[in-house]
Amino acid sequence: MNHLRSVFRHELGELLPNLLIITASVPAAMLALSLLGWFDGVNTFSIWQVFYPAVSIVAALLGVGSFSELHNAGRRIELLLRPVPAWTLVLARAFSRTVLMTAMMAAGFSLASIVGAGLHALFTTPDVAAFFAHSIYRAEEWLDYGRWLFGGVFLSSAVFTFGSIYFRKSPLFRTPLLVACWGMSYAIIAVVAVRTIFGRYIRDGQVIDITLGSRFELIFPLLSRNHELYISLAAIVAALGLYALATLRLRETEA
Amino acid sequence: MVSATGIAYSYPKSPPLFQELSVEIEPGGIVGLLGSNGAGKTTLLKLIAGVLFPRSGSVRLSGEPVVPRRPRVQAEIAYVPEQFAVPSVTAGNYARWYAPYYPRFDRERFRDYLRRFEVAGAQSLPKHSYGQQKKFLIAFALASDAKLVILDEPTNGMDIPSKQEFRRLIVEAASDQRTVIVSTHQVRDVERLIDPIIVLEDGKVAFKAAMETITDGIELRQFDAIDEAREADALATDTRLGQTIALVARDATGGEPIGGSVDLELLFSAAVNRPDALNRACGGVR
Repeated sequence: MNHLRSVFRHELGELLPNLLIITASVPAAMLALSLLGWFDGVNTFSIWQVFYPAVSIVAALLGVGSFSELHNAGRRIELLLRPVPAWTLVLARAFSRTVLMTAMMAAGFSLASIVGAGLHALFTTPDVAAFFAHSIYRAEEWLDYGRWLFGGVFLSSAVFTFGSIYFRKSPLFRTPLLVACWGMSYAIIAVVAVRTIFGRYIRDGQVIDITLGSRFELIFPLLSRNHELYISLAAIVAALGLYALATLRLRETEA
Repeated sequence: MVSATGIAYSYPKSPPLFQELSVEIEPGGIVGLLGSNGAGKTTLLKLIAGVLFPRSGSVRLSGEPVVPRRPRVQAEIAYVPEQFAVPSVTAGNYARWYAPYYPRFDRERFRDYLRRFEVAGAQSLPKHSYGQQKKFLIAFALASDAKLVILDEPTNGMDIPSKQEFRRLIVEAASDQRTVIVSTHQVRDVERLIDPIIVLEDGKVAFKAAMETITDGIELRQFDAIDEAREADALATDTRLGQTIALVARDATGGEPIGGSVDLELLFSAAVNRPDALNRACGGVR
């Protein structure tokens, strides 16, 4: 536990100043842009519409940052020799770059929404202010954010963490190449599977044997009715696999 | 303290650097690791620190294997590589985040070392010069109270007062239970400091001996001419201010003994060019 505490404190200490700047400035910029819209009359532009892309960009920036950080031989040696279990290092990186980052972005956007609602209440109509305020706590949206966080940000962060730790040389080139190769191999396997295994049920892109669908639903009810959940689970499994590989790599030799 | 046994190591796509290399380092003292460029000094230090893994053989620290890296063992090794990187933090924050990894880290001593090295604590580390950053990392390594401190080219980038302070700090920091390994090309910087001395050449230990054994076996003499030194079977010679200086076995005849400590440059030259004769003269271990 002492190791975990030390690693988390270290990771947060190093990342938090940058994270605070980013998570304060991005929602503030979005709020400013939404307020600029008042010149053309009041609109109901919600800054939450840009929450996904904003978080994606921040996640990518943090990922690219870790590429350059671990590309440095001295920094890499320091990380390898840090007297803590490798899994604690990966866990701290994963937590700070996904859960903490998204939570801070959500907090920043919530604060910006409250400020927006207050300004609207003061200068425009209460209805618009209510819209802003309402956008903060809609439960179904938070569920979407949560699913997206674990399905998207978690996976992309895992790819960046894995690439930065696994590839000592040219991680910026090799990681996207690896992801492209995985994507292509997945597509090829899917096409081959459709043509060979399920080909007799499909003609001109249409399912011609209705029993296939019913059997599928019978065998994989959870999968067929909760497609999004399946994708999220698959992304989490893939992310955990990548984090595990990164952990193993941190236990290896420098060469 | 450090026991490396039968180490074989080669970098990918390169010929073997070490084959069956064995070296024992006893606890306490400041070990000088000398060698020509490419002799394998940095690689040996990385193998001892656990950054690199030997292809065969093992490295142990106080009886515990260095590979795989275990936090308990790693906390007893403080390694300052020649090429290092410092994070964008102040000295205070660096200590705040890194000190908890070393259970016996002494903050008071760390502050004292920084003061003596004249490293400003409030400034962000990357804004310091290379030499200042190196001094900072050495101060941290010494304050960690790790059993083994490994310094690769520690005096590179240091000014003359810093080198003097470095020598003082190293002497203070070394103890019976604590070993400092110093690898350097700048032998003058560590003269009268290191004991024992290990010379690596072509991936092998060409010479290893304690300073007392060395001074018992060889001495520095002045000769009128280089031929005279050769006749005395000099182990290494040099011409300084028109005088021929040579390192010879104490039982050799000829020349005028010069007092003082052993000349490390000549000792190194003897270890590289005439290792067998040097080992015979002062009972070194190969």
